[in-house]
Amino acid sequence: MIWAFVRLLLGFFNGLVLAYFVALNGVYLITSLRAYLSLRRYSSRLKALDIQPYLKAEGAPPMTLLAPAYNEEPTCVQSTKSLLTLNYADYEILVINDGSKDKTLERMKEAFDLAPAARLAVGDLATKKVREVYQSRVHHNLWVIDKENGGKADTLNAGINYARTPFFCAMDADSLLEPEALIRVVRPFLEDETTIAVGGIIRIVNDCRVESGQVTDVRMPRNLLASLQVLEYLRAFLSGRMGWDALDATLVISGAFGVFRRDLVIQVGGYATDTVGEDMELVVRMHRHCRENAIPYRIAFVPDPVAWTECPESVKVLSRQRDRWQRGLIETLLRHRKMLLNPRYGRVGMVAFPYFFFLEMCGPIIEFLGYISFAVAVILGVASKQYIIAFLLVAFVFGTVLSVSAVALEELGFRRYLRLGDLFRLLGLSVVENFGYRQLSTFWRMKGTVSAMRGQKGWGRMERRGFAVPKT
Amino acid sequence: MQSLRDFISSLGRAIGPTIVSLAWIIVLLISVLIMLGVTVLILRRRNNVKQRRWTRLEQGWEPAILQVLVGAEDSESLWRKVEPRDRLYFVSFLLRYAQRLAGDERSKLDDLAAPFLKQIAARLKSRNVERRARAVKTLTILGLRTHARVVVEALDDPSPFVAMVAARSLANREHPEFAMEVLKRLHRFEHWRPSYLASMLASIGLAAAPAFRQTLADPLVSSRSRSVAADALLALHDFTAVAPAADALTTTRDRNLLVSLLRFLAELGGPEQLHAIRPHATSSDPVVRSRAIAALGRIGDPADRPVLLAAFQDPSPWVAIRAAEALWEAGDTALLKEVADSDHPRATLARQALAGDIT
Repeated sequence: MIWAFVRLLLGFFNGLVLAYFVALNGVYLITSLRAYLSLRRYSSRLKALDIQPYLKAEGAPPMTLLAPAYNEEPTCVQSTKSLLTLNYADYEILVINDGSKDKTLERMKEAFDLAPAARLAVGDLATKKVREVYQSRVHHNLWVIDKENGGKADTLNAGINYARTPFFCAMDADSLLEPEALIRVVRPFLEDETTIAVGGIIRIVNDCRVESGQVTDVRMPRNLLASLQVLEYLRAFLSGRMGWDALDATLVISGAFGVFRRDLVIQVGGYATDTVGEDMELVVRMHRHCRENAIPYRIAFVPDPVAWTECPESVKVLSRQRDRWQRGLIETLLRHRKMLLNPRYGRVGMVAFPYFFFLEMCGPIIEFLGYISFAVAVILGVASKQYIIAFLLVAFVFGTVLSVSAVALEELGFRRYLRLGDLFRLLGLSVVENFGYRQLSTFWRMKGTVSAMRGQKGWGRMERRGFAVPKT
Repeated sequence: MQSLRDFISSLGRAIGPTIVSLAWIIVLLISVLIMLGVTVLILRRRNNVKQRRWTRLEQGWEPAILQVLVGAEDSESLWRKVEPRDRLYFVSFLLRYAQRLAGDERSKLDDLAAPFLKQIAARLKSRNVERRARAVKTLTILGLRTHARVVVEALDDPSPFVAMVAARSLANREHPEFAMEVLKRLHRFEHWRPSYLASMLASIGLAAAPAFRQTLADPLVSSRSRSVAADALLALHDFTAVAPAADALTTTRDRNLLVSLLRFLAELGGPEQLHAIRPHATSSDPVVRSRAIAALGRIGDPADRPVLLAAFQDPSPWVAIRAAEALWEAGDTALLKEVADSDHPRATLARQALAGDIT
């Protein structure tokens, strides 16, 4: 009797796992196909446009770059130097030191000759106390705001309060923007006045050569974990976000590089300080605000503006990062659960939100338990041959196909990895990642789900290695 | 293939038809996977080959073009070097080259492109939006003398993107005669940011200013177009437009147009326009109010001082910033100094103004 019940339960669960994998990979397949069509169109559109007219001072709107810094001593100077070389007519840089415990502020003071300066905060978002505002004597568009520690969202809110331009660019202090990244990311705002937010692509800088704050030689990281993340990022941005953008249902703009309309962000109350997924939460809240108030709007993703960022190379740090991302996702989705399958929110409520809710939020638990039940079923001999083949098919082969298509999209549109060895490596990793890394990643995300349910807060520590410089 | 089919069929007899279907799907997916992988490698190889070939072609063409430009060689000898399959690429090479040249040399380059432009013009009938847009851009840069009509017609292309590429290409200093054509189609670009449109119009130069003034002064034209015209006139520093701008300021209620006009008068206006500006200093809209205060700061007279002092304590920080800027620029720093040394809510702003860091 019990044996029959166990078999029934296993059968039901295994069916659920299969359905999950089919749905997940099905969505990936749809977004990949949309991304392919969109990328082709985007590339030919770029050929018909001259980027130069966009650079004219009168045409491009003034912009404030917000770079929140917490314990960024190894990278803050290099990153800030890269921001100073941007090819953009009118911009200010606000580096906001979130009460760093290391020598971030001292490094900045030394490198850029900072002096205390008066600056009125024009926004009224509540934040931790600002201790001092500094301005560089060398670069007059560089300001550093030193405040008490309050987390990334609080730091960005402080920056928004001091920003005086119609748009701001939120980024990580350790990110390197390419010289034309800003003008490229601003283009959707020029072409469509209703645009309220635009995200760019994030690429991995580990082991790339960096000179004077600019990536001069793109190469795959030597570290296996970092290499696997390169592939993950390509899949997430080129297949995922590009596809969601084509469906006009962008729900995530990475905190490492996104441009927002300042007045609208203030209207919705700025970044939420009580979540670790403040970047996604803000975008979802902006969707919700515009839909509920019948404000015409567009939130877009563009694949050519690039921000380079350092990714974790140790299992410990990576697991913490994934745990945090999952917690942020869950907090956001639960907070705005009203949007789930609600036609009032259009494609966002009917397509994107259900995808994130059922497949990204609940997915890790189903997937993780799916691997276990698959193993149990095989060991106990209750798994049919059909099931074993179907599981291998959807869990491994389909996933590999999607990863290889992301590499194909990269080759089709951007060709950043010029070495043939790097290309082979990416293709190889598309297969390798399915055996171990994917399961590990699922485990971390599942842990994140459990942490979220237990109400755990906090970011965890990210270790910075600093950027690779050429040998002299 | 036959042996694979036999193998799967025998497998099927042993373990049932469902598994055969699944096995086929696996074979199919693995084939897709291999195909994708091979596609990536082919793409890489194709791109590399293409790149090498283009570099080689360019290295061959460039000295020949220079010879033609200095008159040492005739165009026909160069055309003979361009194989039929390379014609489109030759034109795009000329297109890039054209941006480095001006005057007589540019004209010679246009002559070099002329025999190939018919092929480009045919692309205007393509159903592909991006192809049409690229054709418009090419014809405007290399063949406007002979293809002006089709480029102007492209302003009415069903795709706003193609229309914008046409407008952007026509809006340049060398061809002010197209200004009105572009201006008449401003409504087609209603989603574009006005500052971008104004910058595009301003690139035509002062020769187009009469057309912009006409648009600005016409109350029957949409407020948006008038606002864009005002911004373009400001970029051109067109003092002749001051009077129509002041007139428009007294009649319009559109917020964006008001802001553009006040910005214009702040830069180019004089005491004669103060009567039109002053009422807006007490507007209920802080954006309009801040622009009016900025204008009074620039061109106002001592009678406006009380308004500026009051504006410095305006609840809107934007209005206060403009007022502080105005007081500092006028050298009226007594209040600023007094506030800077106090615990007044605007003390930081006063210190900022006194340090000259306000703008």
